[in-house]
Amino acid sequence: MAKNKIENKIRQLRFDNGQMTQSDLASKVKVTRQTILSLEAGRYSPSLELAFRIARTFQVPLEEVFQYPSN
Amino acid sequence: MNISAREKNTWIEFTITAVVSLYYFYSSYRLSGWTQIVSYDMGVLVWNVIVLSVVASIILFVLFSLENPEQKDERDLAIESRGNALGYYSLTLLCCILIGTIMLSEGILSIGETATLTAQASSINSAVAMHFLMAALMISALFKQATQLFFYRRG
Repeated sequence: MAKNKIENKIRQLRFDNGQMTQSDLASKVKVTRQTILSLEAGRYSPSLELAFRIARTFQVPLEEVFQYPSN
Repeated sequence: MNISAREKNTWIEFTITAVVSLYYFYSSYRLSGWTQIVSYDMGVLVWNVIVLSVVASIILFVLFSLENPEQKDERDLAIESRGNALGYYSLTLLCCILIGTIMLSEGILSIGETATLTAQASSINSAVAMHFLMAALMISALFKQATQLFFYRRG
């Protein structure tokens, strides 16, 4: 997966939520730990459904987790 | 090494395909070269290839996949579809090369000449065509698995 333009704050949100591990988040949103790792590294863009599941897990709006810079 | 169960399975499939391909081509060349096929020997070889694939699969999956396999997630499916696409393109390309080679060797594409495609007159005989198609199948499978491994390793 090529480096994409969608940025995210998953790592920061994990630490803000009681130092949640990648495995914990992966099991909550029903993906593998490797997918969370790729997301955090910015090498994989999630589907809308997965993006919403992640935002819902952290109980924040979608745009607080994922950003798409204009330039 | 950080490796998921899916990636591990792909490595196993890749290894089995590579070993079986090498065995098939080495054995078929040793039997009668690649330009002719002795039916009984070829039958035994095909049987051996099937048995080798099944036994190797069982041994490798038992050795390396003891933990519970994970469910495929959307990234696994994306990687799988990229691999399938590249495997399909390589298979199509190799089949086109075979068809093109047969047509060129028979002079079918020559303008103003009459050419007939017959089994007897063909310079690419059916044995060579069969081995080429087997190679196309194996190469496309290897391409597919190598692509998946590339994307798994890349992250």
